[in-house]
This record gives sequence, structure tokens and C-alpha cells, in this order.
Amino acid sequence: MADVVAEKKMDKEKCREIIREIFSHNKFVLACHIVIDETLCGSAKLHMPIEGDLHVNPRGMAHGGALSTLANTAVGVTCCTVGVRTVTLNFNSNFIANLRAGDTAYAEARVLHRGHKTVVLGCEIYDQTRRLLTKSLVTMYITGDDDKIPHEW
Amino acid sequence: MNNTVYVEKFQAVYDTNPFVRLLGITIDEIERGKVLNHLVVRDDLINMDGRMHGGVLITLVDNACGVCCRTYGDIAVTQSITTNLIHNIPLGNTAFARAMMLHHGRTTDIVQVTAYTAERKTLCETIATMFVVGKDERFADLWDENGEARKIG
Repeated sequence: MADVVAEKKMDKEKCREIIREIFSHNKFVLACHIVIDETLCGSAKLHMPIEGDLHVNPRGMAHGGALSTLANTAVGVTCCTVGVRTVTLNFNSNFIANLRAGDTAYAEARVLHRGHKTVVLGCEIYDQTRRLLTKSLVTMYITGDDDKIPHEW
Repeated sequence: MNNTVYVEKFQAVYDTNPFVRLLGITIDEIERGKVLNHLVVRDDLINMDGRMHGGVLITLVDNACGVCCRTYGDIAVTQSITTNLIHNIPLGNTAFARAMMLHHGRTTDIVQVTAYTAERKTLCETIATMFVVGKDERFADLWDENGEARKIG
């Protein structure tokens, strides 16, 4: 009954605010200036402006670890949208193209499979021209339920 | 055999990498095709559970891969990376990453990395395919035919 009531009250704006509050305590996400743009049940969109004194290598291109951080955060946020807290079990990324300081990286993640103990997600990162930069496949391990977001809404 | 002069040369190069500097990654050992580096989990590198963000660990192992390629004088970018995350560590602890070249090719290098705690507990196991984009002449002729460091001034 509580879940039914929660479903009726949950919408994408409320979900985004709840998840933003959760991730406002994630210090590395704050340090990387990652922003949560949109959350739906089972998917999320984030972005990270590439800064010349923060995210790049000496050639001014985004470090692979910075893009991995964005993708890893995106899948964690997406798991929250289906009401679960998770840790990363397996992370696989293909790096296809890169972007440089002054560009913006946009991550789009979605649940591919939600099991009892694991969640499998896909995530793409694009630049501001919609050029595909990375493609990731991630398995997350469920550590518990979130008390504010239902599994389905 | 590890060469401390080479460690200093490599560290000086990677100190110019903003994202590597952000994470405070330090190179400990350099041999031909083998690297050890580490970072300390600072307050700005944790997630909301007070443990190392997955992106931090992935960056540490990704950096080890890049340095490993450079021990052959290769400038390489990450083409794909697969990581199985096994354990995590809280604020204040140290993560070590030991990389080993599995295949040194003309266009691609394949590197295996194990990350572990100070107590030798495994943090993750990684395999990365690195794409060689150029040669770094500063590191092109470091080793003799036995893989030992050449004497340098």
C-alpha cells in the first residue's frame, strides 16, 4: 500500500530532487562538477563540463578516468531511480572519441536488467554535438532499498 | 629492477596531468612493462558512503595502464577497459595499483592491473586495451637487452 501511495506521488522532478540531495553528499561527484539533469524511472541524464585545470591530460583532452567517473556516477544515479542503493561490481567501457577543455560531456544511462541482487545498465557519453564518446556496460550490486524512491513509478 | 631515477622522470611527466594531480596519484615503481602507483583516499575522493568513488579507482588503474605503455616509450590512450570491483576502502586508506604489460604491439598494448589495499586485499582486477597514438622519445630507450635500466646521468 505504501508503495502505491509513493508511486502516485513520485514524478521525475521530485525524483531528481531526492537524488540530487543524495548525491550532494558524494564528494568526488561534487569535485568533478557533475550535474544531474533528468531522472525517470530506470534512466538518467547527467553532464560534466570539461575544465582545463581539472578533467584533462596535458594535451587538453578529457582523461579516461574523468569520463569513467561520469559514467560510473550516471549508473549509480540510475539505480537510485528504481529505488535501490548500489555499489559497482563490473565496469566495462569502450572509448571511441574524446573531447577537450571547454566542451561538455553528456551521460545517458538506463537499466537493462533489474534482478534481485544485481542491476545491469548501459551508459553512453556524448559531447555537445551528439558525437558518441564512450559506451559502457555496468553491473551494479544492490546493497539495499532507498526509503524515498519506489522500485516502479 | 625498479629504478628510482626513472620513477622521478615519470612522476615529473604525470605531475603535469591535471586529473592525475587532482587524485594525488603517485608512481612508486617503474620497470619495463611493470608499474606500481598509489593514491590516498582523501575527503574529496569519497562517495556518500564515505568510501572511495568507483571512478577514483578506475582512474588509478587507467593511469597505471598509461604509465605501463610509456615504459616502452608508447603514448597510448585507453580504447577499452574492463574492471571487476571486489572490495572498497574508506577515507584515509591507500589504494595501490600494479600494472603489467600482457601484450606490447605496434598499434595496441594490452595491460593487466590488480589494485589492492595496504593489507594486500584485492580492490579490483582490470584488463585494458590501449591504443598507441605516438612515441615519447624521452622514454624510448630506457632498457638494455636484458630489460635492465640503462645507466643515466
